[in-house]
Amino acid sequence: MTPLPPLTRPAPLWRRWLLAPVHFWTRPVRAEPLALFRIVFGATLLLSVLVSYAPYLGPYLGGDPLLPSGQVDDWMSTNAGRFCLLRGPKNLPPFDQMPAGYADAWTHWCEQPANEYLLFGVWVASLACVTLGLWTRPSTIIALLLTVSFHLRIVQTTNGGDSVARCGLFYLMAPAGAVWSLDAWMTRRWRKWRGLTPDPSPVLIPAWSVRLIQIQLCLMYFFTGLVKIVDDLPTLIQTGRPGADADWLTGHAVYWVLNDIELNRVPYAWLAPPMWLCQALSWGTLAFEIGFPFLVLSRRLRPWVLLGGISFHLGIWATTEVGWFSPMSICWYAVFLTGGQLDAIAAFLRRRRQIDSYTS
Amino acid sequence: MAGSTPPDSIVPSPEPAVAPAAPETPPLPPHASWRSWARRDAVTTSLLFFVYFYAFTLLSRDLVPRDRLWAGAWAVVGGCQLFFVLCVVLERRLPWLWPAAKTTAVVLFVGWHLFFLVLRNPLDLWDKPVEDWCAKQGWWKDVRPYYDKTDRVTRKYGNFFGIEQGWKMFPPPLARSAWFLDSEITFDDDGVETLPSDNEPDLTRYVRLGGWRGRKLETYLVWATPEELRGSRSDDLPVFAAYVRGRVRRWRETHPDDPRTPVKVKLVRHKIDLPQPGDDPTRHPDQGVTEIGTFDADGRLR
Repeated sequence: MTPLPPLTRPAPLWRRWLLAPVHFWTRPVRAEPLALFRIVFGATLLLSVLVSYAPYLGPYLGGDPLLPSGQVDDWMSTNAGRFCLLRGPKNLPPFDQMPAGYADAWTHWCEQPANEYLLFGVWVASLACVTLGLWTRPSTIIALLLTVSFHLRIVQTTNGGDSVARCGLFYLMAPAGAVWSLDAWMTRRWRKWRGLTPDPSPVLIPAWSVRLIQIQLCLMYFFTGLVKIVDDLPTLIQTGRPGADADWLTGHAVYWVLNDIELNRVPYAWLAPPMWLCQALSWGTLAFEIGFPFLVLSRRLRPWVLLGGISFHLGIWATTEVGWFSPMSICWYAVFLTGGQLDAIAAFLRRRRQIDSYTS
Repeated sequence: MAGSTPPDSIVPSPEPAVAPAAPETPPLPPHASWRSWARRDAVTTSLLFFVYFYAFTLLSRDLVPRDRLWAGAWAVVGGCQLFFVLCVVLERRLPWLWPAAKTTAVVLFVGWHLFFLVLRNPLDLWDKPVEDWCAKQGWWKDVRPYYDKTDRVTRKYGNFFGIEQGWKMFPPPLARSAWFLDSEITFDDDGVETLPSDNEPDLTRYVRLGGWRGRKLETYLVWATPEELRGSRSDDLPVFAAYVRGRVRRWRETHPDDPRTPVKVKLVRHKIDLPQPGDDPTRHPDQGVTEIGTFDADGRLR
């Protein structure tokens, strides 16, 4: 009989707390959550480009466009570091030092609507490659360069959803194609062809890539919440009551958003939620946005926080027309799942499929 | 135990019935690991080096143009050289240095990026109050040059990669009125027709799907005044002109049988108040229009 291994004493609490930040950054994590983020985010971005950019290609970029290309140059000259591949090599060193003839030829080539459509096709193809995980990292770099360029080309019409899209693509330069990708499939095929046995252990990636995405989302929520109240807090502290314009503190903010006929989806009168509900939703929004970075740290609360976030974004999406901000933001939640949770979801779906096949 | 061979037996074992199984993983030829890694990630890593060196060159503001050109060219060449040096020398000859170099690079990048996130968010949201407060402090004069440089570098980094911070959505005070960009078109017979904004709904019933890019463009244009169009916003005149031409085109598309010719387009800001809490939610007092600018039908400012 094999003797039992000696009982190991768990590390003291202080040591675990001390090491937690180190483990947070250094302990490798399963690759599946990042891959799920890549797939859902890439698909959403691709859909958004096809639905809310492609129809505007003609009016905004085509012949006699609503947004003349020259205004991008003014924008770039006043915003340091911005570049737009559609406007030549400006702000793109060392190419911006190329002889004037070449730079002009580049700009002129991009001014032809047919060539803009060609680049748009490359953009769509690169996003499809990101979603499928085909040449994932080069595709992501190309997609990011073209996303930045195409967004800057119509900068007056972009919104927060476009910013979320660019941020997401930047973070996808992490090893997002390690699993659930055509790259991984081709690697497996290549190993099989070479006679190597597949490695059954889960694929791990460096934690920092996922951590940066998580921190970015936390900061997004935190500052979005903070900016809603920070200007009104002094009045609240001094007088004990919020000022007339402190819509979020008074709880009237959701009422005004739902009433805004510039951007609401349907007339307020169709919904007409009572004021107490508007107040509850306003204060709930504040609590969720400011509390998100802290609440999501708790493993026990995390699923509820994420479910709350999904409802929050679906609510925004259902009542206001603010583009793709909500679907894009929900995609980021994938990086808060663990590989084990995804395994459990996959096992549950497999069981459901088996049950369905038996019953049918 | 009958039939078993003691472990320390010196009796030669009988000939095995089958040949020993091949090792699960065939031995890799020398240098196979770095070669396969290089083959797999050559394009990716070269691109990444290119981007990082590129960013470095971009941030070197003090270089004169010719030096920037040389620095950029050498950065690309150096990046490729460094790539092969890292592959060949570090991984083969100095195996301990390769992980250390990678770790250092990761730590530097993560530290820089966290610094960027933590600094840029408050600065983009409250740059004016922060600078006003700092200006009142005695130490500000010494710190100012470093602050300006940090501000410039982090802003460039965010702008270049498209990761601008300063997140906000529905900040207070929220709108008490809605503003729409309408076009009053005057024809050659002195008749005037109003073409409402594409975003302006029939207030009794509507379901809004899409069109948010058009709304953003109108929001960008709607706040100008005739004085600003001749002064501080004169750079935006091409956008206004293109919008005016677009509205004239829209008119012709929707009225193909109208023989009149548009000669003048007046852009106006149409204000509609939103009902106060407790008011009738279907009541939206129309506050009339304010002129933004008057243009010829081809978009020239009058």
